Amino acid sequence: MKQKFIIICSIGFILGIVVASIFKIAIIWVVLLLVIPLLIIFWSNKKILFIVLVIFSLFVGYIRFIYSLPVNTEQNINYYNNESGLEWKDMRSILFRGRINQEIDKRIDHNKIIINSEEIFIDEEWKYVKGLVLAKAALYPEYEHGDELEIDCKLIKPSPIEGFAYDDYLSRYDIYSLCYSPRIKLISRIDGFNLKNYILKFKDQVHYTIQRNILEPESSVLSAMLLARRRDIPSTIVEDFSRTGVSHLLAISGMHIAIISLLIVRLLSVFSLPKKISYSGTLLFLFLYIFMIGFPASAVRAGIMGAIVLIAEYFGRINKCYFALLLVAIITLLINPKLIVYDIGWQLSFLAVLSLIFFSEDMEKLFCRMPKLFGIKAILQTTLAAQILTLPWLIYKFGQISLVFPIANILLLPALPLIMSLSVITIIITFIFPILATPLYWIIWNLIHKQIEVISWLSSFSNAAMQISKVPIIYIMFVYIMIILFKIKPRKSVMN
Amino acid sequence: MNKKIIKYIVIAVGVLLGVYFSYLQINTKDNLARIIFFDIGQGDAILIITPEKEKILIDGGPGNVLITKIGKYLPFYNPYIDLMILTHAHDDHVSGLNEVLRRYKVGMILYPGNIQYYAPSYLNLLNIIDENELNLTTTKAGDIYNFSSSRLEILYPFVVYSGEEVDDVNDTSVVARYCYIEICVLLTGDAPVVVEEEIIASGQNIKAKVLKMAHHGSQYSNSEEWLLAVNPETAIIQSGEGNSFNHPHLRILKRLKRLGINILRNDILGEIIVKTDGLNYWIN
Repeated sequence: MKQKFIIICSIGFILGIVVASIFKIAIIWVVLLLVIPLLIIFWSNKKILFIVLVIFSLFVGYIRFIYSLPVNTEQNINYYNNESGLEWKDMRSILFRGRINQEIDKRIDHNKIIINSEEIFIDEEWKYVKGLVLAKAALYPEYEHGDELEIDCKLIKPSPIEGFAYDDYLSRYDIYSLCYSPRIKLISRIDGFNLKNYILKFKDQVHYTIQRNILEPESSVLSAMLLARRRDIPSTIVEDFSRTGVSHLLAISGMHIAIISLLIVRLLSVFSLPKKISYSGTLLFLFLYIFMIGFPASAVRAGIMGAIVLIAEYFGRINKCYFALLLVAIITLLINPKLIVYDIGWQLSFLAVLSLIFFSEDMEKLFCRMPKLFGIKAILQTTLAAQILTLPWLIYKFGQISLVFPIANILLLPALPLIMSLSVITIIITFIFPILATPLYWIIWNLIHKQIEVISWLSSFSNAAMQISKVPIIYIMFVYIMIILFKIKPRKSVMN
Repeated sequence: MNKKIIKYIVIAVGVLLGVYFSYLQINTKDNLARIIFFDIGQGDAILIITPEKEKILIDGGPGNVLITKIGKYLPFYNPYIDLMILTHAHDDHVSGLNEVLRRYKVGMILYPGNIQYYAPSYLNLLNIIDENELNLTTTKAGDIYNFSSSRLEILYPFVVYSGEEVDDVNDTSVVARYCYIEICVLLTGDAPVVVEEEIIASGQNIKAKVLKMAHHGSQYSNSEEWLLAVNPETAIIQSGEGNSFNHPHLRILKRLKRLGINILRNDILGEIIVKTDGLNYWIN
């Protein structure tokens, strides 16, 4: 009862966020004032208290989202955005100072720098200001995390680009101002110890090691898989990956990490290691890996989700850990409520892990007659289980169904844990004894090279992917309800 | 027991086959020189692979596009570039070299000498070279770089620059001719008409079957006298699709047609590869 109650309240909270993102109005305060007295009055009546608490959690979600929306006062940098619709030459420039507070995204022809603004030059004096600005700067000179910059540029509000809701996408990072072709002056660089700076430098070092030892485009594919840096993968390769339904390989998501950890465990079990060692080894590997890539929020989240699945499988209760997953979801949403609405990575991670939790057993039943085939069965089972809840959402978001995704996943996924673990080990060896690492890099290069070849071959089929027009959300909702009903029904029959 | 042995045999055979095919991949000797004109947008980037697989990279194009394209032509086990030439300091020739230098080993770097020019990508390149103590050498007309069976001749500039200010950076362009037995390719950087006149006047041998058109086919280069003196069969134009400079210029295209020279453009064809066995050449 208690567990059910917490679950329903959590769902209420999540729903509250979603509702708020649709209506975006603040009159809810009034309603909340009505709910609190009701709460006090009905404290003794369990049933009504339950309903009131659910409504209450709904409002908490609602308010958390409203609270995360941008404010537009003189103290916020987005207040100085140029009005939309102005010609470039009519816009006014602004001078501000701030620090680079995130990893710099180095693209093929420009760098994307996120600056945490501190001061703005208005009316002949420096005034306090806050908020993030995304600047599109030239490739050179290079800046690094922690640099204090003085920037002169025209600020504009983000707007959708060719149907892609760029403004929503950026809002989940709390970015409401863009700055094109800025004039940048370096004021100071971090001196002394700064943990984030240190970790990012380490990550850069790892990235550089990959770049030096592995040729393009294999090197950038590995960087995407391993470091979540999708910088310079040629667009043709990105397109091939998405047509064959394996784009998730190029990102670090909960889905990715959960599948990889399960596969590593199964790979280790081939060497007939004790269960304890293979599971704790995989957990340690997960931690090492997330440390190596500099603890980005998305990977930490993904890592926790992966760990949940792993621990649950260890205790043989993979279908019982949705509680932990819900907890992770609630905590991440309390920190950033925009994730559920605007971050497709978060959505897919959550759905994939949920899917693994609910459908792993069903898949096992479905495949019980199939031979193991060196772990191919396990891969098939895991990928298909993860697809059940993510596929409808992917179709809704991208309007593209990959028809070869099961084949592509079966062909590519077996090598993935091998590539990941081999790369991590090789990079560690490089730092200690570089000569030993060289042949290992050749093996990694060959593995990724073959993967790219397979993907472009699969993608070359004219009907590898089916393009469909935008599906109304109602249909998608219907599909989800059907899946849930299907899942609930058999249990009842067992009870009867 | 039996099953295990079969398993190991299958794995061993797989590994051996893999090694064998990799070996085949590495050891393809065909006695052809390849000159690759990369499709990197508005800018120059040319890679010469000699029959003995020595590598000469001329310019790097804008942005970081080159690094994503060059990988295909370098061996995965040893991405080494024997000679790199920076024809002049403009961004659309320099930028891509930064990333190449940062990642791969380069035997020697040639440039026309230091000039007063403050483009960030140029300064960054000099900085990388300085920090890593790479072999940077100035070059001028008359220098010849011999490879196993082919050679590279430098035709311009006539002076070595050492920190002076120049009116037009294009005037410093390194002009080079790569020859494998009888087939020569002339690479011109952004050399304007003045430079073309000086080279003709110097009386050097500039005949070539393939000519890379100077300055992306600009009308301020590629004079009729120059084209007649070089007497190419094929002209290659490295310009970006829809560039804002209107390169290549219509007048130049007409001139080439009138002279009966075959025109190949990166913005239309994408990557262009010229292969030669020293007597004939083919275009891919």
